[in-house]
Amino acid sequence: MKQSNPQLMSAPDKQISSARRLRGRWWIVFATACVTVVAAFWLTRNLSPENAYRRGRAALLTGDRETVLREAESLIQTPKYQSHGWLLKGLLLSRLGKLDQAITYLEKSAENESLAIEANTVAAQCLYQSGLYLQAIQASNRALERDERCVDARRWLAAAYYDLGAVTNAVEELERISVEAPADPRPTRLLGLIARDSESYPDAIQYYRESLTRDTNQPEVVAELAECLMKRNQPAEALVILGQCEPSAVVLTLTAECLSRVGRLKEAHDSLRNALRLEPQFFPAMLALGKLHLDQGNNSDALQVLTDAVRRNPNDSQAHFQLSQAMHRAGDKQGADRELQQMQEIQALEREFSSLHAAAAKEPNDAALRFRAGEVARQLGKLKLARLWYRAALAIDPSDIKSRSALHELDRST
Amino acid sequence: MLFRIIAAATAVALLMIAGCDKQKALPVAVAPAATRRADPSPNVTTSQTGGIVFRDRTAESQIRFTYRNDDEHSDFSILESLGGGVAIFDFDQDGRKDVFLPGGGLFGDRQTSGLPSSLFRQIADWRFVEVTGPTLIGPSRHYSHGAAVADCNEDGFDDVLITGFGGLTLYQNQGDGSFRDVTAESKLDDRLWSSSAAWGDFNGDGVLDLYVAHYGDWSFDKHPSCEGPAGHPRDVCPPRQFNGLPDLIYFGKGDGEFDDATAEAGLQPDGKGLGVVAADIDLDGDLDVYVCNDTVANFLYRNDGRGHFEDISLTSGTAFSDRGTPDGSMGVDVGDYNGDGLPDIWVTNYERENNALYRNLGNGIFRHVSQSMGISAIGAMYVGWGTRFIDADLDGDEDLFVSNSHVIRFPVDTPRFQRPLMLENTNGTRFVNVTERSGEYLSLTHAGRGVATGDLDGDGDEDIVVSHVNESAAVLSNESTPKRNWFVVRLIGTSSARSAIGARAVARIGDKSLTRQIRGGSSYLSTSDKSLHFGCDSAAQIDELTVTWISGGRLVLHNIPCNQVVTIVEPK
Repeated sequence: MKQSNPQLMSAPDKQISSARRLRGRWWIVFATACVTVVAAFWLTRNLSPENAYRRGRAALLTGDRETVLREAESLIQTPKYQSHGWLLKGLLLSRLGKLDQAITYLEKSAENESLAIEANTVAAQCLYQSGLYLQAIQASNRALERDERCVDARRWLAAAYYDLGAVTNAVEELERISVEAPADPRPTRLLGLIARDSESYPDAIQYYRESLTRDTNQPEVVAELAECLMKRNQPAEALVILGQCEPSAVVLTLTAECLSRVGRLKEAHDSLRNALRLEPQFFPAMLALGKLHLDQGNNSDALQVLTDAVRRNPNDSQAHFQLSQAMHRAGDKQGADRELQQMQEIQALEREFSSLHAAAAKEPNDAALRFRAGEVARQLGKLKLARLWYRAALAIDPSDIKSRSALHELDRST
Repeated sequence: MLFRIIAAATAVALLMIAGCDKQKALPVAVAPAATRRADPSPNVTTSQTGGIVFRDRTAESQIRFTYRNDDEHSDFSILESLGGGVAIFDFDQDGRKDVFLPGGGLFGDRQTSGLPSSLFRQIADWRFVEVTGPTLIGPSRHYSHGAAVADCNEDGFDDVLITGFGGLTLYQNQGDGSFRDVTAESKLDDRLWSSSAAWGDFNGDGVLDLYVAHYGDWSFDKHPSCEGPAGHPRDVCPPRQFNGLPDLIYFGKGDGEFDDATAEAGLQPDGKGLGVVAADIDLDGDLDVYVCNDTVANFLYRNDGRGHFEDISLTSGTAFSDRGTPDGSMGVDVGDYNGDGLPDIWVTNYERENNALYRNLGNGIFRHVSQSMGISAIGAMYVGWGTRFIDADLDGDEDLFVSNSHVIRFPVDTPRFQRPLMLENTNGTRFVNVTERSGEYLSLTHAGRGVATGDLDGDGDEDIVVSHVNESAAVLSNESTPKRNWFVVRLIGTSSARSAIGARAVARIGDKSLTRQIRGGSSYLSTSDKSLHFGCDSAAQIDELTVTWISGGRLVLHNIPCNQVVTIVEPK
């Protein structure tokens, strides 16, 4: 390359040299401008509230709490994007189980119309999980007012109604969920359970069948369907279905009951023995075996099995009744009378519980009724149910000291 | 029972994973009675699966009668759900069985009235004429339900008690083809809502007494409005809406009057009685009483022989279902289904409950054997009413007939009109549902209520009359094949009350013993003919017949040819 000495350059040479210098600077300027533009573009893109929100959502999915929190805080500082930040924070807190705080943020974010559906739906979830069923219903309804096809909001609405004991409303919502989520087997299964509990076996059978059409791989639903068929006195059909299930204590006990109904007593006996081999303390099998012994005139065996059954579940009226029969046959009149007395006491509670349950379905805002249902459930040894009813009472009247202390006592004892 | 058994967690997981005069004492006699249509050469078979068939002869019989409950008045009262009964008896002692049917009633402006009953006299085989008018038995003071028939004044002619809402009516058979209302003079002043009633000598004085079952405390002042299922704003209220009424027992004084002996009898203070049967259930020589109560525990009253009762239902295992819960019990009968000589109890129940067969194990202990006897397998989708043990196929064991239909207007799970049931007893080991092949009547649905049995055509087997609600009563002729041998015994009490309720006959045929007992009441709102029927199957004779009267009198006869009706008068 030819080197030139600037001092020796002529005027035209100087002009050429100056132009070259300028051109070199232009490239620097151009490059700088490009870098600036790219940087600006990159910065704009990455520092925009939308992107922060997007990153926050993505981090929520991956469980990256710090990122979610950082993006949420940055959004909360960004004018016009505060509600997005609150939503992110609410979603994160709800996942962390900090329900009270989550509800606060979610309710604030729900003021933004574009976020209201999701914010209310998740708020409904948090409220439901906090036992605030009435508020959960309100939040679900706020979401559904904006989008009646929001299936998740309807699920929380159904769950809240159900736990409040407003079964009729729950069924209505579940029916809609079943239509709006046609591949989901769960709503129809829950409808089946509700129908079974109220002894509407034809309805229960229909729901269970529908649930199994949506997902055939639900062994527990198959067993529930078989139980309903048996209750409908279709033991042969129930036996066919039970034959398709993995043998478990539940399945074997149901099978035994069906076999008894069709007069196959020996096989029923074997089935119950097998159930008790799988689960030696499985109460329904113990009770059924005791009854079978009584039917077959094996009174001493019946006495033994039923005594164990009563010990296992002292709150079951049937067990006391069957034991009283066995004792009476054995000539133990005093023992038989004692068992009958216990049976009657338990039955009185069962009748009261049944009435309270029916009344609760009609009176969705009666806290006292729910507290009493909790008390009766506790006396019947149904602690899960007792908790459920106490919580329902508190949902209606948070100042209900009796329910709160009963719940507290229950939690402490278990 | 409603049970909320799903925990909240389950719901969430499911949703979001993401008066009786004792006048006649007939002489001791064993008098074979001429049979009107005995089959001289019965086609004998030992098959256990003979064809039980009943032919509907209603049209031919000319019995045109419908019990009316006036549901068109749309009161939706529980009163409309009980329906009516039927009685089969020979009111004029001409040797042919006649049929009496209470008429029902009407609703008015906060009051009810009775519809006339009807009496049909049989003038030839399967030919009846209505004789209500001339016999003067038609008028009904009350909305009527049941007919309890027995010779309460011991004059040799059966009298008729009609139960219903607001009172009883006792028609005394004058023996001249007419009846006279003797309610007031007999002092049967019960004003409660009576359902079934059972005659029997409960205090052992040789005079007939009366047990009256009462239902619930419904009245126009206690008439709640109950919501029907979807699309039906109203339906008949369930029985749980009403308190039960105490039953009553009247002791006959022997002069045509009755005393209310409820207090001294020691009856329970409540109940919702529908069906009642009086029989010597513990075989101790007195009449015990079993009462079907609706939705509360049934009663089994053990008699101490003097008309004082102890309710042993709880300890005996006859109060409840096999689950220890009260059933909605309606109809009842007592029979020896398994041939062990002990009277067993059969009870028809509401839907979703199995009809209950309580096997008598002796010593006051019973076992609910519906499941092991195949009765549960029949299905619990029926609402059962009138029922009778009846050896329909004359094979020696007692089969069962049940009428069914719903009580409410808009049932959800089961139809309002239901088929009856014919259950064939297979030698005491199991009952088989043979309804499908038992004739056209049994293949159709009806609004069945009361049922009575009796040999209407004198051919040795028992026929059936069924009362329906707002549907013509049905007259069913037993035409089961093959035709087997039979034996019928009529018992007449002398030391015992003439109707011989509680008397028992045990027929020994080879190594089999068949036990039959004359019951007071039984079925539902109805009275069956009191003759005792034995199916002899292929046997030509009864080897030994032992008759035991409720008074303790006993008579043993040997080698009595089958295919005849024998009348036995109690030896004094």
